[in-house]
Amino acid sequence: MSGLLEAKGLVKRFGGLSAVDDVSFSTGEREILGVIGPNGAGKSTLFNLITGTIPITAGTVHFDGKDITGLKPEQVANLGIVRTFQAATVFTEKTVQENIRIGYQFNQLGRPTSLFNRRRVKEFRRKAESLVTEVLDFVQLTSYRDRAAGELSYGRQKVLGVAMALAAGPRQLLMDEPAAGLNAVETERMGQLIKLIRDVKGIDVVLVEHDMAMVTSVCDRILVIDRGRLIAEGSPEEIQQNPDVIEAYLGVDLELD
Amino acid sequence: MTMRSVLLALGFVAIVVWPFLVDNTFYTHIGVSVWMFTILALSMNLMLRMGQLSLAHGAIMGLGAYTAALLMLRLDVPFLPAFICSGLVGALVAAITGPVMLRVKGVYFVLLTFAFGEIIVLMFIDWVSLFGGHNGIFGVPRAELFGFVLRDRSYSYLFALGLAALAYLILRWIYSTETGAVIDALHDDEDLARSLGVNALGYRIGIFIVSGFMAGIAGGFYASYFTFVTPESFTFWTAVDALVMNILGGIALPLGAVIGAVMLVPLPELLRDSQEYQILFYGLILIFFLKFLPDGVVGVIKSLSTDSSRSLGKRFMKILAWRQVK
Amino acid sequence: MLQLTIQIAVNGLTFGLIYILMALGFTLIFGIMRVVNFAHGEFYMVGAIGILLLFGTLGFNYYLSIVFAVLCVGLLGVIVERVLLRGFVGRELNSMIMALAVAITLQALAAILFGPQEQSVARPVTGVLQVAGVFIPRDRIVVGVIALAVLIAFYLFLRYARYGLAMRAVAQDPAAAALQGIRPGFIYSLAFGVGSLLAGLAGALMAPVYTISPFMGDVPMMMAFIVVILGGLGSIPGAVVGGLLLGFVESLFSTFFGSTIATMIAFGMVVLILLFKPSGLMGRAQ
Repeated sequence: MSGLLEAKGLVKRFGGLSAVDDVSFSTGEREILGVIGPNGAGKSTLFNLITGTIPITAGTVHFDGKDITGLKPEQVANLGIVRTFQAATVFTEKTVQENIRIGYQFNQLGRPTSLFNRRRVKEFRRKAESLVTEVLDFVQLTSYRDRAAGELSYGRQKVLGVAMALAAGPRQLLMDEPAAGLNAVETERMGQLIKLIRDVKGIDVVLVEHDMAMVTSVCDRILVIDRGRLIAEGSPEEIQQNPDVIEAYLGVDLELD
Repeated sequence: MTMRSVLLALGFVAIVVWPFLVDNTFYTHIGVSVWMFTILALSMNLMLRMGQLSLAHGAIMGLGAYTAALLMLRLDVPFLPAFICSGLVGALVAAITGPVMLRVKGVYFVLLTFAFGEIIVLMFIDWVSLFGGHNGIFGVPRAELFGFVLRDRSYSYLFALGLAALAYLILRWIYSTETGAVIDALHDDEDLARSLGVNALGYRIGIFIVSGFMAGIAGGFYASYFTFVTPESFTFWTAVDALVMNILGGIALPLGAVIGAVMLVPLPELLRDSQEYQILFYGLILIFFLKFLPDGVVGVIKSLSTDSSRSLGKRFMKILAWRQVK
Repeated sequence: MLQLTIQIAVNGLTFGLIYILMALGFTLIFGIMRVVNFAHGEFYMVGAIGILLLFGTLGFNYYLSIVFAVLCVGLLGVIVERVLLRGFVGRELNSMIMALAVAITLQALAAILFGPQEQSVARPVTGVLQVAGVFIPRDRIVVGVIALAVLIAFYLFLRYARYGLAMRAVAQDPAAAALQGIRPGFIYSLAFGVGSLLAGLAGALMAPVYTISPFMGDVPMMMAFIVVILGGLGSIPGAVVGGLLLGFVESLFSTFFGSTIATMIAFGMVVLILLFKPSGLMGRAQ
């Protein structure tokens, strides 16, 4: 079954440099799609193009059959594509539960005019409490509920970042290097969390990642990008044996295991 | 009732009734100025909380003042509608300029609002037939509420206090609702907020409109209280005053803006005869706060209230230690 | 008509050179420290007061007074940077507010020490040069020539001197510059010192032309600010282009419409630039 997200011929040029050069792909339903490539290959730029953070030079993005090319980040989010960031991005001075509530609020009441819709605000307030509890439980941060987010370890802050994205109610989750900065144990847990998101929540996931072990163990399908171009696509096993991929990674300090 | 609430109630009563007991027009005048500038400082607090310092707020207050003055003098509009119009003009300016200006961030926004504000002030100066040039407009009627003219300063004091209290409560309310969470998020990490679905520009415009309304209201009050308006009162230095009030009091709470106004506004009035020393004191106190107490009085109170130790020495050490952390 | 055009151009050039002098320091400080120096006009004022003191009161030679006053302003700049601004480098809003506080304090100190009234010094150079029906006051020529010489010296300094090159390196990429062994702290002091020195020079040059008062720095600061936004915040060539542009625009519009309208037009250009090309006419895209 085909998924929700479809990119066609995406191009991004900075000056004369092509950061993303004619990349097309589509997601599958209930699929965890991995995007890998050497540093500076254009992986993060790809996310920024899909979410409208930076303008697209050429190409189109469709979501659930709808053309979302050129929409603003908040519009993309309101349609159900929510992203997480490479760094741990949480509101450090708010508590853990406030952060999650914010994730829910920002998508429910994203437009300032929605505040005048009393019914909608009331519904948000009524549902917020139970949603926060549920998400906290899902990502296993319940015991940190009232701690300031800034006090959490880096690994837990990244998990909280994912929790905020989940609270926003995505249909498609884009994760930018979820394992970056995490130790082996935390990476393992993050991998399990991503699988749970797909299996239990039924949310499609695209993740950009550096950690090959994680990508091969978590993803159903992998895209390989090098110098802005899509050079290979396939299952983790196929990718590991692909000569182009091995060549692209030669000289780059990454292990294929 | 706890001790605390009794004290608060007594304090509030004292703030309301002292002009009637003291009966000193000069002190009452200072009181009126304090609450008038509290409104402007609170309006600035909204901007600072979302991370956009506007140096045009003096000029927006000026637009409010000239609006009220011109409506009452030229068109014989009664006070109350003219007064409300001064707020609406402030809001309107924000609504028109916000969609373009608020796309600009950081120091560029500060400089943009600085230039924009100065253009408005130059307009007051140059458009003599409408705004009266450097001389401004004199003979603005006093405030009149429901047939009762506020000739006595003590009543002007109550009116100003009421407006400031209303503005304060509105800010408290805004910060306590969902909008408050958005404002903080826009300040801390706009990219994250947008990626979760917040229409950042829309919220910024909304906040700017509310803030502009308050600045306009402060101007409307100014016109009817002083009974004259001149361009010099609304340059970017007025916006700087409002900024400094927030810094001294502390930006984190609306109470900070109030404390800052109480600290700063009486200064020029009390040191009227030695203007140079007054400015010097102003500059030095600002440097001191920026360097040593960047979170203002509110920051100090917060750090003290979380401290269980009672001895003064320990409290002082706490302030020092807290400063190190910053 | 031709005569009027030339007169406007000459006036524009003499205004423009002083604006450039003010704007260069302003843009240098922003380019290197990311500090919007709201105290820039006060260094101009201190330079002028130096002339008032040395040349006016003590009766030293005018040119010697300029050198001494300007060096003092540079030193004052270094002290202000070390003591007050250093901790705020990189935090644009806070450093800007700190600069505002410095401006207020310097104004007050000047008012206390020298009185708030306007004072003036005798003009060391007088008379008007008349070339083909165009009037140029001789003192303006002196100002123009000195300003031009300093601008060229400054250009050569940035272009060839070791510390000039280091400054440009820090402006472009502080992290990379640090890797090459350039101490940013020293460069900050140098930049702020040189920046205030240039402002002080502008003040010293203009002291005999205008009246001297503690608040005389407000207008030149505003001009520096306009110039720098027009040319691009942090761009040195931008300051030159912006300075000349503002000089000519001001000369043109004040001839026909009066100075208030001229200033309004200048601020209008600032608003348009900030809205549509915040990096300025000559600035690098961000």
